[in-house]
Formats: sequence, structure tokens, C-alpha cells
Amino acid sequence: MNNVPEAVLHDCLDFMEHGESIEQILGRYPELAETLRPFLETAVQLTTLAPQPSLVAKQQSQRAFLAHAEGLTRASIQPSPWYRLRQLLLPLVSLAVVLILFVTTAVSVSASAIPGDALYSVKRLVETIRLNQTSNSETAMALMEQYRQERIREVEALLGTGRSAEVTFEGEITMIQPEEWTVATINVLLTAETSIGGKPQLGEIARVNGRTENSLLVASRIEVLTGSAATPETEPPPIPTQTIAPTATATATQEPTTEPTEEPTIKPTSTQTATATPQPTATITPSPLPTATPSPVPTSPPANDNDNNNDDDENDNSGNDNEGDSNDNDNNNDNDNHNDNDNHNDDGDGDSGNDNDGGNSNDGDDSGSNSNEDDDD
Amino acid sequence: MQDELLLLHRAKSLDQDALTQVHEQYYDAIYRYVAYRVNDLQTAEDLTSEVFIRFLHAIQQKNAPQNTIRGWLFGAASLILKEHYRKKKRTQLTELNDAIPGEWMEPTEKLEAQEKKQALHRAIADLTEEQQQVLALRFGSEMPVRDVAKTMNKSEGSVKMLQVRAIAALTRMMAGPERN
Repeated sequence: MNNVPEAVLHDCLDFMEHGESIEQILGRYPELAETLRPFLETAVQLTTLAPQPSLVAKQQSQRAFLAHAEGLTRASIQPSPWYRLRQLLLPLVSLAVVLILFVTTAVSVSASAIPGDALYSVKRLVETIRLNQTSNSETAMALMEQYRQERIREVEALLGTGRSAEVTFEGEITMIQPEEWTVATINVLLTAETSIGGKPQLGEIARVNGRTENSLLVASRIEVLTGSAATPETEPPPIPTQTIAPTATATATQEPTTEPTEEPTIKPTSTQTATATPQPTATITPSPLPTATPSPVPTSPPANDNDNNNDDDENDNSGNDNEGDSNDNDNNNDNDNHNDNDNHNDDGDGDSGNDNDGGNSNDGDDSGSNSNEDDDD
Repeated sequence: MQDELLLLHRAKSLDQDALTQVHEQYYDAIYRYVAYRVNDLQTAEDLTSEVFIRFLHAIQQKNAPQNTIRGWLFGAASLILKEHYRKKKRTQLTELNDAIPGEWMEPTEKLEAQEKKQALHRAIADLTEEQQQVLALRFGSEMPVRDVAKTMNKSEGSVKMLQVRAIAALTRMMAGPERN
């Protein structure tokens, strides 16, 4: 083999590739035939080593190949999770945007709606919501006034356009005639069917229910609100609560009524301290208000009542230690004076005259009110 | 060549017909090449399928062949075989004879033929990597020298020389040491 030139081996393989048999090739090189034979036999044997693929294996491979390709195609086409989420949310977001736009437009357009318009109910609903959401009473009052003016403007607009609609508005009565009133600059016609609530007077507030027709407003009912409207303004019912508060202080003042007799010598010092304590009297200025009720009180501050009060106050004092012992002493002294002051008050009813002792006098009054309660008891 | 480029272009877009054609056209050659090297039918089938799956991945990752499908497939097969050898470290010689078609032989003749082929496989495994590759391409895939040269990125002369030396080495090994 080593003696055979490689070129001959190349030629032998070429002849074999072109279909010549081993014998034919060896016939070309008779002197090398012995050496070439095993080489050519090995080459022939090499051609038989390669197995042919089985049809089943090939089909399986092809199916797997195409399925994998299809998977890749789907993966390249399939949207990302975010895209899918976006596709899912897009209709919802669009719907929400459309709703918001619709509501916003409806609200803004309804602002100029007048009774009889399709969006008038929306306008009133928005007003109600705004009013309900307002926690500040001043703002609420301002809104209510604004809406009251708006009602008047709506009626004016209806009368101006000659449209027919049921209306309700409030305003000041500026003219009263048998068949025509003027309420908030709007002429209101009265008919036999018009009912009137309250006692109408010029300058009072009235609520008009009626119907506009041909630029005229015919009232179905007119209700004078001044009386009822006044009540909400006179709301400050805190006054009675103020009268109640002093009762607590009054109980303190009642204690000393028994004590002063026990410690008469302390009076001078007490008067000095009393000048320091009068500070609360300034805060309890509403004294004039209670004077109406307590007026009968001074007539009935008998010693028995005081005693009763003292009993209660002793208990109360045990709970009113916050004020300190010195205050208790002061109160005792004050009460000494307070008895005197009561007498003065009874005479003159001049609270201002007893400014220094005002607090005491109030206390006295309050004690009186307490005494009244006791009397009731 | 023009047809292959057109086929490659269609295959890059994962066209099912084009991919079917690619598989149909190259499966046998790739399989014989792989089977020639691994000497195990099941492994040869698995590795051949892996060659085509990698072709798809190359398309997906924009690493698809630019000019030739066949060259790329044989290159991928060669790479897969190297990975396979690295994993196994040594080639397992198993029975191939059931898959090799042949004429009817007497049992003793058949047995001798099987032993001869197994001995030849073992001898091939002792050749260099390049020699094994040339033999697999030339006799396994029945590829002409010119195509083998392209696939191996060598000259035709180099391929012929590798082929002659490989066969000569096998002949010496099969003859035994006493004949050398």
C-alpha cells in the first residue's frame, strides 16, 4: 500500500465512482493489483456502511419539524401579555372615557337647561349632589342662595321664550294686588284656583309654584316663608346650652352658702381673690338671656334650697377638685359676697353694676335656677 | 443554486411548504452522514431531527444561512456530532446491520459480514476528525468531492487526499499489524 502512489489511488476511486468494478480497475493496474485490491475492497465496503433512514423516522422528524415551525410562527404572531391585557382593557377604558365624556358634557350642557329641557333633571341632580357634598354651612348657604337665584333666572328665561313649564321659585314679595303679585321681580298671576299659605305681606319671602304659559306665570300655590324661613336663621339654640353650663359653676357657688357662716373671718381675703376670679364672668356674658327665666328664681332661694344644693355640691366638690383648694376657698368667700349681691340684683336687676361680682351674681342666679329645679323636685 | 436561494428565502419566513421541501430534500443525506458517524440508529435519528430544529431556531434568531441550506445543515450536523461526542466521550458500537439493506445471505456469511462492518466502524472511529468527516460525506451522504470541499470549506484536492489517506489507513487497520 505504501508503494502505491496517491495519484493512482485517486484515479482508482474516480473509476469506482464512475461505476467501474474492482476487477475492471485492477485490470488497469495489473502490476499493482495485489496491493490495490484490499484498498478498493475497503472503499466498496465503506459505501455499504451508511444505513438508509426508515420512512417512519423520517415522517416523525418532518412532523416534529413542521410543528416546531408552526409554534414559532404562532409565537411570533402571538401578542405579548401586556398587549393582550391592553386588548382586554381597551374596550373597558374606552367605555369609561365615553361615559366620562358623556357625563361631563351632559353636566356642562345642563347648566343652561331650564324647566322642560331634557337635561333639566340632570342640572337639578348636580345641584343636589353639590349641596350634599358641601360640609361647610356657609358654602351651603351660598349655594342655596345661588340656586334660588338660578330658579328665578329659569323662570325669566321661560317667560322670555314663552315656553310652558311647571316652575317653583322663591323670592321677596314686592307687590300684592288681588290678581297679580310680584315676587322676585316676576309678575305672578293669581286665579281662583291659586292657594295661598301664610299671611302675605310686602317684603316677605314667598315660594311660588306655578306654570309658565305664553310668557305669563300663573301660580297654583304661593306660600309665605318668612315665618318658617326665620326659624332656621334663629337657629342659634346654643343659648340654652350656655345657660346649662353655668349651672355647674352655680353648684360650686352654692356650696359656700353653708360655709360662710363657719368662716366669716375670711371674708376680706375672699373679696381680694374674688377680683381675680371674675375672669369667667366675661365668658358668661350671656347672662342677660337667662335672666328671663331666672327672674322668679331670686324670690325662691330659700335656705332649704341652699341646703339641698349644698348637699349636692359637697358631692360635686369632691369631683371638682380640679379647680384647686384655693378656688374652693375663694368660692366660699365669694358666696358670702354673693348673697349680698343677690340682694342688690334683686333690687336693681343691674348686672352691669355688679361687674366685679358679675360672675358671682350669675352664679347666684344659676344657683337660683338650680334651686328652681330643686323646688320642682 | 437559484432554486436553493429561493427555497431559503421562503423557509426564512417559516413557510410550511418551503420547510417541508427542505426536510424532504436534505433529511436522507443528513441522516446518512450522522448515522455514518454515530453508529447508532436511534441516536442518528434524534441528532438528525435536532439538525432541522436548529435550522428553525437559526431562522428565528436571524442567524439563518445566507447562501446555502445544504452547507448550513451539514455544518450544523457536524457541530451536533461534536457535541454528541463530547457528551459520550466514546462512540458506542451497536448493531447497525438490521438497518442495512442487503441481499439474502447465509447465516454464517451474514455473521461474517456483520463482524467485518463492526470492525470497519471501529477502525473509522480511530481516524482523524477530518478523515471521518470526509468519509461520512463521501460515502454516507454520497456527496461529490466538489460539494464535500464546499461543505468542509476545503479545496477539492485536500478532500481527495483526506479521502485516499483515510481509506488507506482503514485498509491497513483492517489487514492487521502483521500485514503492514
